[in-house]
Amino acid sequence: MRKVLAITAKEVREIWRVRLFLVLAFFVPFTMFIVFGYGISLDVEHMPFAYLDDDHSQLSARLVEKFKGRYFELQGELSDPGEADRLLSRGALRAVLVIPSEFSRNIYRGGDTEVQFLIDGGYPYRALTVKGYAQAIIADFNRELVTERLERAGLDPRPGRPIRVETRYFFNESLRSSYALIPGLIALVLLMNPAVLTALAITREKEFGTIYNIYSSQIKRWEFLTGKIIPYLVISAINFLVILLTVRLLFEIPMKGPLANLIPGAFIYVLINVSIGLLVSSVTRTMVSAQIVTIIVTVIPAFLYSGLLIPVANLEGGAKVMAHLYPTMHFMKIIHGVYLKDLPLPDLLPQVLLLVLYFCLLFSVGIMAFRKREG
Amino acid sequence: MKQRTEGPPIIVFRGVSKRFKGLQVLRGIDLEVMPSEITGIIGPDGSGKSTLLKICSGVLSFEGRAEFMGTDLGKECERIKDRLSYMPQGIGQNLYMELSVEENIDFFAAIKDVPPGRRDPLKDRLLEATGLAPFRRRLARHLSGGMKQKLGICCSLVSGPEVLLLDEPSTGIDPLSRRQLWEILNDFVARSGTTVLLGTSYMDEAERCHAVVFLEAGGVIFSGHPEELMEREKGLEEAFFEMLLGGRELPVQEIPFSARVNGGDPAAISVEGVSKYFDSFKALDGIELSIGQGEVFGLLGPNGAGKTTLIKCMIGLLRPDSGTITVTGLRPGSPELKQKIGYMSQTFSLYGDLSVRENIELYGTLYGVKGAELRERMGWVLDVSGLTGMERTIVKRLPLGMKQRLALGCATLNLPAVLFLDEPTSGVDPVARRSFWQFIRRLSERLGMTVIVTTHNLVEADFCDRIAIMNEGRVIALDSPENLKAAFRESQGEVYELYPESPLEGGLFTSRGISVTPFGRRYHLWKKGLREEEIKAVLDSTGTACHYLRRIRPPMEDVFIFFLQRRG
Repeated sequence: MRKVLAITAKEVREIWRVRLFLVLAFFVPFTMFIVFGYGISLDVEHMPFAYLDDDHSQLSARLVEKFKGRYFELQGELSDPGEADRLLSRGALRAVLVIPSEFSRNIYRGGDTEVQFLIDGGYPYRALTVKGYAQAIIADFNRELVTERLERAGLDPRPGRPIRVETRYFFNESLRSSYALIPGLIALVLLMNPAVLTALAITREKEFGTIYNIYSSQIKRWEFLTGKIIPYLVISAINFLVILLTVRLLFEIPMKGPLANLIPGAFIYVLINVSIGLLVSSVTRTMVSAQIVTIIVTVIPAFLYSGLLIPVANLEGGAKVMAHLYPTMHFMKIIHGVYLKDLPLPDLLPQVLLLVLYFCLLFSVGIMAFRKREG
Repeated sequence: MKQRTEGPPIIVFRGVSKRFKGLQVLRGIDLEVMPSEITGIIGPDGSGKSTLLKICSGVLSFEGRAEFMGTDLGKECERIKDRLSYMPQGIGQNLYMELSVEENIDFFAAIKDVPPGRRDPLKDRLLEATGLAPFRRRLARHLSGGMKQKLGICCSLVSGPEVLLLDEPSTGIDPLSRRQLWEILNDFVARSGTTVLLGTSYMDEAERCHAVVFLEAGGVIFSGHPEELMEREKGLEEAFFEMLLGGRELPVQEIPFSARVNGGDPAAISVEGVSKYFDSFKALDGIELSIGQGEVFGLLGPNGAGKTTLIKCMIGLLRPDSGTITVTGLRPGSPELKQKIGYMSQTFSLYGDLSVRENIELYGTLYGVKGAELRERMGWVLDVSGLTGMERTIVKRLPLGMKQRLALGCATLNLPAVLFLDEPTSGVDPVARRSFWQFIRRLSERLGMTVIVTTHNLVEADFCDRIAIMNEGRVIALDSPENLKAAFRESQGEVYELYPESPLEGGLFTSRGISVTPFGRRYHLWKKGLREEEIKAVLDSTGTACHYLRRIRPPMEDVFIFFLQRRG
């Protein structure tokens, strides 16, 4: 135990005295969280939008009025189609509504008419969503027009829409993606940072040559590695708390369940990621390669297969298997369970136990992969 | 003084081999290391010294059989690791730069399981002996190279190891630190019976060992006592040189040019009152030098003495803050001068990924040498570097000695009037070094080329016409090596080498005011006005038998330290 503490004390001094390392330990994860937190959003809202009205009628004005709201932000009226092209290609507009000159005349005549909706299709996901919004708005407007027409004819408008859907979203009632995404980012930051720091801590000794002090001493592998990772566990604990506060205070996202339900999972999750860093450092020699490899094996799968951006249920075949193999998905379930659903601890237990299993496996492989003698 | 044990060897190798990625680094080594002795592993770079030391430390796997104090190093190496200390190659490589001097030592004690009660007295003794005591709280990163190496040794010794394994502990550090380092080693061997295994490429260091193992290309070409090799008035360098050459003559590189490269100014370089500051640090302090045409001029001094700064000022890479420099009558940095000088820097100036021919062509382009002239000189450079027939070899695959000579050849491609070489020979084997110097001498004699060389290797000072010893930005001695040695004798007296049949009693000579430095089984004795008869009288009075007693030329290291300390 004396040796473990000696290693830890040395490590803490080094971290404390190298400012770059302190930055890496605290500033980078925090910044990453903020940047991702503000940047990451799957909500398609406030789309800049304009219209080209050749009709200039009361009816066309009513239609334009319907587009105003949470989804579209009216930028103004355009004078010619060339302008629409220009602004769309510049990205100043995401959609343009074109109302032809016979628009109101055709409707009042009792016939049908067309409007044109130009969408920036550069990013299909967004374009499809915008299209959906537009269709829903037009459908609503159609219903108003039909109702008015029936009323004018002295008929009861109600049979025109026999079924109405009442939707209620559970857990994330206002359906804001940030409520799921931002707590999900905790899993990302707690994944990359401990792994990178641990990998660097060991490859640094390899690169500088001080690792030979360890190789040429009787100190046991677990003693060295345990002493080495303790500071990074503490750093991750501090980062965890800072990020929880950021989520609450800066992003104003409530946590529905008690914090105590999140802590065991988070602790083991960090242990797992420290072990991943350990494993990476066993197969790399330099800090640069350790960093690159760690980022590749942690961040990329976390984005793709953790259920952060794409629900795991929507993944197919191999990707789905991958998702279950990476521990991030399981911790993500715990996060969402606590943040959104207020699940009781017993319901989170399967995930926690799975994480414990991961840790035991990765840490023992990590210790075995660390060799005190070069090949 | 502890008697040398003749007991069983402490490390035994039988047919030990090591292969890295298809490259045979060690081939069937047999070796016996005796306890309480300093055994030097010597040989050129790439001969397998580091590999051998790593195997002894149990940090590298191998084929064959190796025993460390009766323990099988192949299977049970963990068991013996607290009884040894290993210090890898490179200045401060085993240190934690962000820890203070004392924190470093304490950390080493902790991982070697030394309780503070046993650690503290040893720590104090080591800090005292190395002169590091006033710097206990200084961070390792703020220590000079020599201090770092001394701290490295302290860290290795604080656990009181039975065996100490050091990989080139003195490469790149100045002679003064090197001297202290050897004093500590000798002290631990004598007082604690420590066994030291030490890799080095300095031949004058090998002379200080009780036993030497000479490696060449992964095999042992000599193993035994240095005394077996050293005939009268001959150093180990000489002995190995002859052994490696096996009676052959060193091929002489003829220089097929009759033209003299100089002309005009009789003083190739003149330096008047040159000072250079880096912030508030005075790197050069009023340097005055005049170097004649065709002279081979050596710049010696500890790290940070200003050697490289001075060279950079001479070639125009740095501008002095005051004073004037002219090189062949021209100002450094002027375009005409650039065509007349060659420079080989400390860090390698060759492109490792290019072939030999491509490197030479590149230098030709840089220097504006082309066409028939380039073809002619390329043949000459290849001849000089012994690379004829290897034009297509990628440079990074060449052994260090050949790279150095190729770099030298490239630096002379434009036949410069003045050639600057910054530590050109570190890590080169004796034969390569000898042909390197032979070539430099020829450039000076045949072409009248002026050559300025910096070196840490004091043996090389003897190859120079004149040397300047620098310290703290000043020239503290300037003369021919012979004259400097004469000045040393004048002031310090003659130096005698004594080779007794058994180790000397402690205090036998020191009590009579005679300075004693152990050199393996031999001793160097000196005192002002010391005569051979006086030593003989002491030996006779105590009945000490000896193999020989002889007067020797004072080693350049002693001369160097004498001048350094005379100033201090």
